Amino acid sequence: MNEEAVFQYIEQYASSEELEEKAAQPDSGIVDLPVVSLAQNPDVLIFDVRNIRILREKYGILGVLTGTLAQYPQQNFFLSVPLKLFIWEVIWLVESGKARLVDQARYRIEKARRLAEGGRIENDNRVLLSKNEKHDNSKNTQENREPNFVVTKNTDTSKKCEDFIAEYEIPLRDYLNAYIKSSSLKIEDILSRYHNFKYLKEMGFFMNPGLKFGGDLVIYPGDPLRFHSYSIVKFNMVDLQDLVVGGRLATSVKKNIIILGDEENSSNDLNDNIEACLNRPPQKVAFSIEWAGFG
Amino acid sequence: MSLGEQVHTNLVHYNLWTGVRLHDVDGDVTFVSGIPPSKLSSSDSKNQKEWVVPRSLIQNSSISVSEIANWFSAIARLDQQRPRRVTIGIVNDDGTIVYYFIHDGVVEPRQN
Repeated sequence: MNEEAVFQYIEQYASSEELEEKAAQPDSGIVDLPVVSLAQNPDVLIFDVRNIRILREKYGILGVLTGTLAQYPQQNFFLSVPLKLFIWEVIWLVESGKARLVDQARYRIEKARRLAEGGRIENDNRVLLSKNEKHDNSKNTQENREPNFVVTKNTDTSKKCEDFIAEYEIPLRDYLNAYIKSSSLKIEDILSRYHNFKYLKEMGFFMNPGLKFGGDLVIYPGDPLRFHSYSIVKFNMVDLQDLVVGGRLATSVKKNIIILGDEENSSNDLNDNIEACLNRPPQKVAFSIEWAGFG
Repeated sequence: MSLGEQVHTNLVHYNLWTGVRLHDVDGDVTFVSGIPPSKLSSSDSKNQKEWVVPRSLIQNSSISVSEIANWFSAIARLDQQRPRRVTIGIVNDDGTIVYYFIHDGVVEPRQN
């Protein structure tokens, strides 16, 4: 088979794949969030580029890319999948019905089992290695054979899996219980940060972690790929020295510092269950600090 | 010389503010009000009254949201209206005073 024929074949295949992808777009808009392992590593890692795109474009959730680019392994400025979500992003997505948590470890085992059984799930990956090996030696018959390559899709589109993926959905409460066991954060801290996140999210901001600027969050008025960051957010307290340093610095780069916290110093009653704390947000107040320009 | 008096002196003699007054609230916090010689921000009205909260850098080096919220409500009681911003005057023991705006709520940073 000559080169031209191979390209033709790929083109034809690519166009059919596009159609398939369109069909596979989740119309409900509910994104599956794969949890690596509930018991050992309750991180949410997303490999599906379409889901990453939905999260970013539709819901304004950024997460952080954590994978190495195979082509450029010696740098870490541009990173690749998986996308890791922060716990407050996960809570917000699930609480507002935009996503569901999936026990990926158990789901994968079950999926592999069904695949092995055969017939019940079709594998989309097309293995197109030459069918009749015996012709390999005779070069002149190559024209008539199918191309000698394997097409491996980069996302999982086996639609029939959706039939049973719901069985592996993790309720948010179970997930939080598993998460705090492996986390250095206490449940109060997680919930307090979640409510801070939610307060700003509902104002329409996009948020990234703020360590690069010495804060808890950095907020953007839109997608950070298109907008400059707006403000550095600190939770609850601000040190006066930091305020002076940060205020001057932030003003010179056209940012300000936002201090955000609970109106009263009443921490959530821990005797309450998690759902109650999630549903009863404390009253949040925010103040924006910038250099006054005199004195 | 108390913190409030230091800020008062600085505003009157260094920053040339007029009508500068000290307000004691429950003997707990002191507020300073006055009128700056020119508009501090382009969106201000002319001769807009400015509220300043003196604060020592040394004694108490961090502030919390609830504290700031209390300043706003205390000034609201003094002035019959909640100000859109207060100014914090941070006083160091070497006589330096720096001023920072604290706006109520999340506001867009000033574009200079």
